[in-house]
Amino acid sequence: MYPAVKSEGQLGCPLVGTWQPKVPVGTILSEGMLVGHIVRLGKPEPVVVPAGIHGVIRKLTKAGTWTAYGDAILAYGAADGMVVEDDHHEAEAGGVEGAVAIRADTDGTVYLRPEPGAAPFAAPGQKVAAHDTLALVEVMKTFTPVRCPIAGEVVRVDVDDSEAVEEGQTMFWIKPD
Amino acid sequence: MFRRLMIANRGEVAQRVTRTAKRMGIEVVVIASTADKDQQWLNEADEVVVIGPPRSSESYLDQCTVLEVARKTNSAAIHPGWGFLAENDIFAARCQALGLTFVGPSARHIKQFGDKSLARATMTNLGLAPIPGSKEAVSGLAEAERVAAQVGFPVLLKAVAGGGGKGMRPVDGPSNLATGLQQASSEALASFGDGRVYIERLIRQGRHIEFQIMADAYGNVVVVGDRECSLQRRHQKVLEEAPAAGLSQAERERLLPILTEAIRKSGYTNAGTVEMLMDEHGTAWFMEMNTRLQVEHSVTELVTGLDLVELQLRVAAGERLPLKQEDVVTTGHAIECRINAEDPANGFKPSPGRVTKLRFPEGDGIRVDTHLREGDKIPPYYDSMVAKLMVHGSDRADAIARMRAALEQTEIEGVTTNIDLHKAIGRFEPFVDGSYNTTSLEKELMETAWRDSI
Repeated sequence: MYPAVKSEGQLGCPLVGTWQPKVPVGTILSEGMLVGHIVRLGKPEPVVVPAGIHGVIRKLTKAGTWTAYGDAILAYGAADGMVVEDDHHEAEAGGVEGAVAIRADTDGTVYLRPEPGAAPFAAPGQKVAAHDTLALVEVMKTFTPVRCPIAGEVVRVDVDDSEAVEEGQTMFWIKPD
Repeated sequence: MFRRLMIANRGEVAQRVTRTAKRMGIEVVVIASTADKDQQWLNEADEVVVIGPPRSSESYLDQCTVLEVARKTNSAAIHPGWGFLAENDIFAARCQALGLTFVGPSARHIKQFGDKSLARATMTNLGLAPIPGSKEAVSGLAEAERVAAQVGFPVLLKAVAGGGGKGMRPVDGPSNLATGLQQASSEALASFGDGRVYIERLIRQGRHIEFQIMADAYGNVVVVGDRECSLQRRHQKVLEEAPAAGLSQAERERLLPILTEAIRKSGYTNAGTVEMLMDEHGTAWFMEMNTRLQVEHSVTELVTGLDLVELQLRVAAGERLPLKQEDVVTTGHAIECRINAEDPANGFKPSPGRVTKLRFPEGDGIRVDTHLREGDKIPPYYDSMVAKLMVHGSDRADAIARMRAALEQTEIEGVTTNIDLHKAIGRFEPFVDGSYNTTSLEKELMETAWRDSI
């Protein structure tokens, strides 16, 4: 998992190990682009640009630098004529008109599927009944279902599977029937 | 001795191991997830490396990362603490392959005792009798019927790969055996990916007794006393005491040479705990062996005056155990209350959050192992245990009196804890008179007066 993407424009190292960049300063970044490797226990692990980053590499951490999780491996800025977008969640942060927000009632880790590989509990467009399980929130190894308070349709999901959520954070938008 | 030690753990565990290592003059490297990176216990280490996001699977359990950090920081050894990678034989083997000392038993012994059926067979061969039952997993109904008839009903069907109280099914009589076996096997397959099941005689009101073992690479084995952990909720220990309240001196003396000889013959090294279940006649039977130091090791430290982490490090560094069996002297009685951030009035729901007030008692006969400071935020990602409140008294009655007083002086605000449950235990007759068993907490205390009081 990548550390939280900041709008200031630094890419944090997703793994612990020795940084080996693959692209030079001046490269325009796009989602999924391979920018280098982290060598961990002698094995190179690819580092790709996560979603939500658009810009040009201004500064590159030196090849061979040993980095902890989250240490900056490159800094980027807006390329000429390009608008830098914020994190995709923040970009969508507005509410959905006529829909009810389902918020986390505690800090924890949210799971959108009953088990890895299974279909999600509630995908956008899906009809849900009152008391249906929308997700599981794990707190200290205890899993608690998030129940839908109303019958309606899932219009938007604002969290990723196995994402850390904070108390009060909006997870789902449900349009009541 | 090692120059540098890495601790692959967090919280109270990391702090506990750090303090002993620092006292021994060893440099300490600790790892932290981003959820823990500003926590106080990290300040006691010489070096801190942030290794990943909050989720354990991407931080404390990520073996490649943990090993990379150990190598890069020139650590000679890794102490796994308890929990996380402590009983992972693959991790122990990978440490060895990279020239790092794993502070614990060999990968072979972790594997041998981690498989419950193999552990039963091993201990039987070494002379320590397990709970009567099938020697290994049963092959089918015919064998199950034969074994059940031998040991007598009721029996307990247990998943070979089970643990923590999961994968167990009691069977009252012969007519229910076929259905029980089929259900136990399919449940085990669904939960653990391994449908093998073995049979044990069901001990209904057993007592959980355990023996602390320490062994070096030169064949020296010392039993560092015993503990009782019968106060359990959902098979999780709530309170422990040393010495074991329910163990007779005769049974203790009967077991001591058998245990010592079994461990010596197995070639096991470092710390371990032999967990046993004592039946209504006072006879203790082998249940399982934990191949690590346990949470409750500290009550043994209180009554023996030994530092078990120090002994672990010495043995791992190739030294001989600095004590013999006759040097282990038990003084008085110790009790440990596990303080968890959970809400007993609300089905023991975990209660993470900001600790707004924190006060623990201090003084003679009191030991509090905690990483918690006032103002800390308890993250939701890890275990709910936040402190171990321990007392040491001249005898059991004195220890209970001290426990009651210590609990009265403890204040934790901002999060809900199980302190009131411990206060109720302090006045619970079967605990006070020492007659309790593994069902007492759930079947008596929690089902009666205490439940009405919350």
